[in-house]
Amino acid sequence: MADAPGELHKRIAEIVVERLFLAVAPEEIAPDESLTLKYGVDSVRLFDMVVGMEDDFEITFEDEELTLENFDSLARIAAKVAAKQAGND
Amino acid sequence: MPDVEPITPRIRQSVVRIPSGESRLHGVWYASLSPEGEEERLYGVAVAFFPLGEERKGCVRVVHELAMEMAAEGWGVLSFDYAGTGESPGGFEQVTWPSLLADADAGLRFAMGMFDQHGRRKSDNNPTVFLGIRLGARIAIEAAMGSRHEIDGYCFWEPVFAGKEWLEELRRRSKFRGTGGSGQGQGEATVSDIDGYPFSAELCRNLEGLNPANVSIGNTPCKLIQISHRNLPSDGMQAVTEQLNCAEEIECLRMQPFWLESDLADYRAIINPTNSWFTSLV
Repeated sequence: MADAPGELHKRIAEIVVERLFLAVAPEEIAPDESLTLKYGVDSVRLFDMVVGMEDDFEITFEDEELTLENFDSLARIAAKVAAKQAGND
Repeated sequence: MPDVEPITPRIRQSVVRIPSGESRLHGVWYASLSPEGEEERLYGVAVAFFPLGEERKGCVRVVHELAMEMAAEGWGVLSFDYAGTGESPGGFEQVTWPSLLADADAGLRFAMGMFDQHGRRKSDNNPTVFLGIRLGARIAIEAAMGSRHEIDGYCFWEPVFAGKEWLEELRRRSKFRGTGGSGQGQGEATVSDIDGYPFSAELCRNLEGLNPANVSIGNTPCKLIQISHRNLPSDGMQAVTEQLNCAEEIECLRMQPFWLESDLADYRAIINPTNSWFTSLV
């Protein structure tokens, strides 16, 4: 079942902090902040987090969706996850 | 200048060349020395099996630190590079699953030879143990299955037994990072650039054919270390503990996957339980 937008953002923020071992509270990450630029997350760790997110949300991203740009902020991640949950992507 | 007390026990790290077919693999042998500079008696032998590709890079330092610790405890420890990887001769495009297993067997034979050659045993029980990291766990098990030497204990760090899934993850990671090609859609190409490494078509076929259900270590003691954001075993790791009959011996470390890191700040979290586990087998 799809999450409500607010809930989805909150969940994603928690997952990002947990899986990337960020020393910041989930609510402190602004939706459009770049995870790579602001928090120094490299592409390897970001990919590891994306794969983990597939498990958490029971979704699968297509290969062509797997770009750094699609997952570099909470807002972008939430958009991809929401589209998957809605079956639009 | 005042006399400086030597650090005791001192460790000798010897760069060794391990014969494997036509190749001579690069390895490092760790053993402790007496204050007189002689190699000490050994409890037993440990052989470390690295993973492949980018994952190997993040493991080298951790294995070195562990080997130093274990040597100080009285182990002879061998770490080595398969042909076509690390500092061993050859190109990665020449690596196949049979070549990895042949090199693993060569490493084991070399380590046993070092132990026999020194022949000064510290106790009646002289275990031979394997450390397997990621795909190195599968290599270690298959090397043991094909060897006449009996293995007395294993420790696996976040083991990978399913070659097909691992290769797929590598392909996707490669795509995501833009490192090399994805290894797909290259028709009959004999070599595919996956995550920056030239995987031969044969190695890809070999890996895709690795059935995780075929992995067995009988009743050999085994410790599993899960490395993730979780404090509890994942479903996959739980299944591995059942497959290897080691449900009592799983440790979940909440830390970043060190094989993906260029610099891991804290090695102790993983070195200590591994060293303790191996030493408990003596």
